[in-house]
Amino acid sequence: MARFTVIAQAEHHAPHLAHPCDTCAARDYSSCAPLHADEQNRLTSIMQVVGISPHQVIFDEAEPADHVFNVKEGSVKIFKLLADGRRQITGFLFPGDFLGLTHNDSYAYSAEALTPTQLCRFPRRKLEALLDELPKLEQRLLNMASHELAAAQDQMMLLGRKSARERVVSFLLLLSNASIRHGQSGNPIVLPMSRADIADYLGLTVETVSRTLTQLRAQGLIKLLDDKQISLVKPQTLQGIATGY
Amino acid sequence: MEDQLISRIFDRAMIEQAYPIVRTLAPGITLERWVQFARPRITSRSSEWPRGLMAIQNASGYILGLFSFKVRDDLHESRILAVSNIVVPDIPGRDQVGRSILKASDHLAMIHGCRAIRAELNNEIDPSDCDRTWLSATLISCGYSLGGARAFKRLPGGLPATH
Repeated sequence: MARFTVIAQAEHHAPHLAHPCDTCAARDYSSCAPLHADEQNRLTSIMQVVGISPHQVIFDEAEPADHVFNVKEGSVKIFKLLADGRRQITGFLFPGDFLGLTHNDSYAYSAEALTPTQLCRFPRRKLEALLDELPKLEQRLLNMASHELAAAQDQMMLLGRKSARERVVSFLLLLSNASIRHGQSGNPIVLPMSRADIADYLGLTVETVSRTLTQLRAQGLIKLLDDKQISLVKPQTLQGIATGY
Repeated sequence: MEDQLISRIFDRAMIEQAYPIVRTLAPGITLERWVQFARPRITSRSSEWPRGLMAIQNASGYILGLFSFKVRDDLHESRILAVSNIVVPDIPGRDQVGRSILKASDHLAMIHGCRAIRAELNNEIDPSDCDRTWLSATLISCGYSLGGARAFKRLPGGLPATH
């Protein structure tokens, strides 16, 4: 069964219809932002917009790394399988973020949609050839704070925090910052991932994550709006906790 | 573009942050092994013969490349900067990260009074190997001569010492 539903394909695109990029909510903060119209057209000429359902695999670790993806809508988790068969989540990616950017012959991790997700899919070889001709795009990619290497570095910094409380608070602030970077307010924050995913990512148990969130709520530092949304009531205090004060 | 990349001497907090970059080139290296390797290198034992780890970061503070360095006594050149453990992940723009590494090496060599830079490469550069050609091209464009798994560059005014 095909993993993806093809939503738009540039070479089959009828000129009288709206271009898929024209309505892209991620465009302003994605790597495409600095491109002129003709450069944008060249990029979209090698691109497909594909859709994938929640919990479906985008690619598996060790699969040939033939495509690079940009998250257009939705959210994605990336993870590695450990030698003992356990899974380690190494990052979460959101609209505007790239995945598959690090090039080896095969993907170094697996990626799975957390929510209904749309992705711009680029054949790697064609994208690399185009990047040689579009230095602005290459520069933007290099300076972006949002791809799998950056996500993995964020995680290493979080795991360096000593207490569960520091890790959970740092994670909430990380999501808030990502949301601001992606053109949103940063508060409240949306958590498309499960508590189990958060626990896995932070190297904690689910119980510890849930207990910590409950404590933060009891102290009036956060408000759980629903299962997937948290309001940061005292952001400055939270910042202090994250940095160990 | 390269101006937007920043070179920064490692501090303790950056060691773990850099691990995902290290793992892209050497997937088998554990975090413990990397920390064990990096920690002694972030503290110089001698101010006369400094050593350290240098990171290349983008404007958001993410590490895109790294290398280790050591100022050494050299019979021919008097003082040289030895550069090794160059790590640049295979990402778009890697040649720019490579150039930033070489620029940072030039700066280190200059401030530490070195006459030359000797860079140790992870593998011998084979010009027919496309994945490595970018590095040889970057080194040559920055004034290095290549031989086997080493690259060498004499700095302006850095003539061999006469004995």
